[in-house]
Amino acid sequence: MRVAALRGRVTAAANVTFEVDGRPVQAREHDTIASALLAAGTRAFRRTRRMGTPRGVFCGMGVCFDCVVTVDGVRSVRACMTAVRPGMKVETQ
Amino acid sequence: MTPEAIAPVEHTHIAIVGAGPAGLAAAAEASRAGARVVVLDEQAVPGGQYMRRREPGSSAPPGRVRAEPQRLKERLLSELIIDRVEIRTETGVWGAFAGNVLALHTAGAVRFLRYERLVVAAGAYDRPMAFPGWTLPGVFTAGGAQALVKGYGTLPGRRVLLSGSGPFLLPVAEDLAQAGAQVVAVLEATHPARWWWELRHAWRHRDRIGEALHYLSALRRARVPVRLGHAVSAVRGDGRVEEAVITRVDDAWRPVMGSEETVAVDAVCVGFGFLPCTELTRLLGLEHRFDPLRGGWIPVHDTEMRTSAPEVFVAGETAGNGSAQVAVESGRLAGIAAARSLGHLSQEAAQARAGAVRPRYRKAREFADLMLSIFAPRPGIYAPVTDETVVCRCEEVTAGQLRRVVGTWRYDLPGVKGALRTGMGLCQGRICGRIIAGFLASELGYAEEEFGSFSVRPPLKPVPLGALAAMSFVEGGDEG
Repeated sequence: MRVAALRGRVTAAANVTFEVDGRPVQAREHDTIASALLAAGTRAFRRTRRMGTPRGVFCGMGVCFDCVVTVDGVRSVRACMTAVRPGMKVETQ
Repeated sequence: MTPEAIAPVEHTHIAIVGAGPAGLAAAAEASRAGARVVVLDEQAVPGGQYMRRREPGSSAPPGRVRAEPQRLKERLLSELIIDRVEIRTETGVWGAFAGNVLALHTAGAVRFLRYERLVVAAGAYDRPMAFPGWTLPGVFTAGGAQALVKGYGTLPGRRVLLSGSGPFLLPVAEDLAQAGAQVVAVLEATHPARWWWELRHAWRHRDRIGEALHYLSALRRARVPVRLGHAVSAVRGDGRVEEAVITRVDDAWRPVMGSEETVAVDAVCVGFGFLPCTELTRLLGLEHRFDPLRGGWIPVHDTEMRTSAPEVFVAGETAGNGSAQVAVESGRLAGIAAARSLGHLSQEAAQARAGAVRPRYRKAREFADLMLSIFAPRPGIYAPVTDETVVCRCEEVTAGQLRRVVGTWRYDLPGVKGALRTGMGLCQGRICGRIIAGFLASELGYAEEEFGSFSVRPPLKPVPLGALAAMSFVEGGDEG
């Protein structure tokens, strides 16, 4: 969730729309995929191969690779290090 | 294969990896001395983690203390001799070739940069600890949670618990509370007895103590309880964090039986200090030593920040955990020495400049070491780990597997990696390396350094296939 939304202020206009698993997600300019998804209430970005457990953002700064998603067909891109672009197609892994 | 065969190789006098306090200070001194400098950083804006810009309008006007990082950033940027400094953001270093060539990855393309001197100021990341439930979505590192709030105005959760050790938890808690999260508690594992005994040395650092008091009073105003000698021992939930178990811990940080209490939260942020980023210094084959106080394996360096390779310097957290102040002053020392070694400064001029920096460096170093010794993680922190607890997040290796493998045979980290694939995932052991060494050390009663460290291999961070495919395209001469 957004800071401003919780503090009862008007949220800055969402001005980037991208796609996650075929659904449109609103983001703000300068958002990363991770910050936009968390703001939209999505916690789990993928399921693990072996145990099938959900994973999301952990380190938030590009170290742990737990938040990886597929971006425009490229697998295992760190959501926390990748800025959203209009029309970007993100798939969870 | 030489880099030239793949893509054009650019050239600079001094390459600096990391645009945080240390890297920018090194760039300021080196450019002032007359050297051409290229600063590389993975993030979208220079500043590193400490000087990360604040989300506009995200919170109340920052007070005196909170304005400090931005003032430092402005000062360092204003010190750069702009004609001679190029800052390349969103540029990751993924390899190093013979002949002083760094392999870069930027905007989906591979690039190469030849340097005469290299300053590695790659920073640090939160030191994680494994406990039951720590892989659930909603568990964040403290630094990651702060980056989300400060950088993007996104909260990690509505009801947040912080657990760990060290003064860094306090500003994170204040940021979260100020942004509107309900911070249920800040759990500081260290016992107050340790503070009061050690703080008798701290009279020379009243300004820094004042900073901690500022945060504590801000947290009191926000009604955030700071609970000393407590830690999170488990997190539970169905697919996401729903509740956390808090326990009292003894002086060795072992949970006190019967002290468990359960709180409903939707996010847990953990940080037990920091680990220096040493992937590049290890890839370069520099000599390292284990310094338990300053974050573990760190590159050996002299008072000019020169490493075992004469053309490579280190600064900031990569040279060993410290503080933003330590980072700035060590960056200045590295920048001066690197420029001096290229002949941009006379011996006398370099000595005069470094001489002005050293007293500030020593004072900052002394206080940072005091903080590190007070809040150093203690072995009991691994006690809540059960056989089912995942220790290597990438390869999903559990503590039980680890116990079985080392039960009859003593393995070092490379041995465990061979047996269980720990450290072979995308994080290359950045997260699990110290956890496994610390866990095994506490279980088997050995010193942590006896377990060694994982080897590093290029690419240090994955290079997208598109970028590698583009290399042959670049070879065709379309670029450069």
